[in-house]
Amino acid sequence: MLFVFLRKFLLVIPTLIGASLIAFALIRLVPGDPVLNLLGERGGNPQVVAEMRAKLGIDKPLAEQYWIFLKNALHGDLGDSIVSNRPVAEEFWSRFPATLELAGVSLVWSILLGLPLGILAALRRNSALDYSVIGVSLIGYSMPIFWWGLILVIVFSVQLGWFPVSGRLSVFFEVPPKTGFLLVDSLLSEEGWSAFVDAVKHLVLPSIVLGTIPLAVMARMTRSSLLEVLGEDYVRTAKAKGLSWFRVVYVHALRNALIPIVTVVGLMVGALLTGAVLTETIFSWPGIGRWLVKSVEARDYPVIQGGVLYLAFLIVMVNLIVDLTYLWIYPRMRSRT
Amino acid sequence: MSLLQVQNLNIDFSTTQGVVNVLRDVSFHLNEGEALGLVGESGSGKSVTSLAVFDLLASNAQVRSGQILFRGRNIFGLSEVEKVKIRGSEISMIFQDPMTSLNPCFNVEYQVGEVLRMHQGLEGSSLRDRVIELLAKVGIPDPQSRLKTYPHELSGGMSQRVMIAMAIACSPKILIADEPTTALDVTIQKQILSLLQKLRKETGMSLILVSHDLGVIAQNTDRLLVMYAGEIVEEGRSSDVIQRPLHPYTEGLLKCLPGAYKLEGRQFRLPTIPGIVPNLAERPQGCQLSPRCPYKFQACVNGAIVLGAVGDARHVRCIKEDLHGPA
Repeated sequence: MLFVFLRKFLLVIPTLIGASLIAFALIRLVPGDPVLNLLGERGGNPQVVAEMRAKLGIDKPLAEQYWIFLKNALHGDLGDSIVSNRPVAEEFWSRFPATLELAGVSLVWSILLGLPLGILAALRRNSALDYSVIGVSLIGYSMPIFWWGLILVIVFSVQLGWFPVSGRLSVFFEVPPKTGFLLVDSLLSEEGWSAFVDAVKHLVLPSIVLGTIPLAVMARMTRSSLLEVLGEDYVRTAKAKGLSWFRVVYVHALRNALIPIVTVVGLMVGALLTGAVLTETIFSWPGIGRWLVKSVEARDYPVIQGGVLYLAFLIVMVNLIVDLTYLWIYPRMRSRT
Repeated sequence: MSLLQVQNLNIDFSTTQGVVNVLRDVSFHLNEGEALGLVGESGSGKSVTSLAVFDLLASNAQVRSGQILFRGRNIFGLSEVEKVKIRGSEISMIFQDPMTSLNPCFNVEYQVGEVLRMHQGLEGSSLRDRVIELLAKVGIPDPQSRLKTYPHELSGGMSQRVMIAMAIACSPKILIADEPTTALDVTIQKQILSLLQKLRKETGMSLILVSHDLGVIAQNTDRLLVMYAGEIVEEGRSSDVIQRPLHPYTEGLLKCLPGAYKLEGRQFRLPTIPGIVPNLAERPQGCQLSPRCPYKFQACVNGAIVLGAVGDARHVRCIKEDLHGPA
């Protein structure tokens, strides 16, 4: 057990090196450089440009640049943003709560809705309910996120005026950042409840948009996984033991059906953290996705390298948790790995 | 009165080929403490019959007519709550493949203990003690250390023993063993069967043993039913049936047993019954066995053959002896 854990943990290292190398190389393959970007289209005195490049360290050979980046990263220093001059780590952590809050809320509602929908569809197989779950989840899965987001904004924000168009909080609320999570900070602030309600209102549309695909995947996956398990011999045994219908489905069948579901949730967490780019852009959500996109536009090398490294680390950690969850759910894997 | 009485049971399955009549007018009884055998080829309706006793048929199955009386109460007339109370406590069942019949996610203690918690409300150390006692009873060595074992760590024979422990946990009146040894190798088969015999003698429960192996049935039951194409074709005391099979199908099954062929003199190949079980969606006219029967008469295909009494406690669905006299 400990060995399994150690081995999985050691695999994290090459993954992170690979991710950092790709981020480092890709951004440098993109035409343009941060200095020319800063100085504007007309450019500047060649001598000034060269000085700035030297100051940023991007005049050195690529291999040396990567080595310096890696060495500093190991010491916990990801460098400073070229645009803002603030440390990348500080910038990352100031935006990460926004992304995590949005991703978390989206994930929670999509699981809370997707899991029961999938279970219901499986238990009422071939009923009208089953077909509507399959149909709606297919639509949800196929819908382009940006289009779906815009439709929701037009209907619920512009026409009905129920929810705000963008941002995390209305300007007239003063909420001092403590945890970075507005759902928590708003309650701690002087405005308290009214600020909390406002933060929730801001979360509704973006989290619907971000949670739509996970919801569709959850519902379908739960349905098919549970259907498969319900045909297994041990489910028949459970019935023959005289267990209630509830125990048969929720204890004996669902536990076995969880394996593919947990896999999907793990993949979704990764997708939610990184894939929030579109949603964050549509709703001007001040999170990691929008920050990275802007940094690519500015060729802010340290931000991109550092940000990608952070995200890669988080996703690897999520995968590690998923792997450990398997072992917990499914004892057979404990001896296999 | 008999412990279990199955009366004129007719069961249909709705399939892609239309509605298929899977059980045809099946009637039998089971006495207290008796071991009853159910024998027949695959698809003859043995498992459907045993699952019907639990009312645990697949969702496409439909009981068209008939009833199953357990201690005088019709199983099909009970509420779900009452059925759940009977399953696993008064009537319990073990299955063909023990390796897939145990839930891979839960350990032995949990799975055996669950029956006791549900039906007898045992908890804590008294629950654990009872589980250990049961595991010892079914011949699992060092039961204490097996409590936390998961099904994938058990052999087939051990898994079946755990299944049996689960089945006898609440001292049921009836244990249904549906091909309990088919997935196990021969030495284990013998151990499991003698374990079932031992437990039956100790507890006085009744046993319904389902198998395609007439040899296994003959050795382990008092009375047996031979099923073919969803019908009972022969019924009688096991020793009588083996010594003098009355139905051509029973006779065919007996000849198919390895070892029996020597009695036939100069035979080198194991005999088989020609043909296959009829497709239940397109049943033959008259006697269901007629296309495969070596004795076939015109009367056999003219109309349905009834299950007639022959002497004491013996029934057969065949007109051969009526026409020709005893062979």
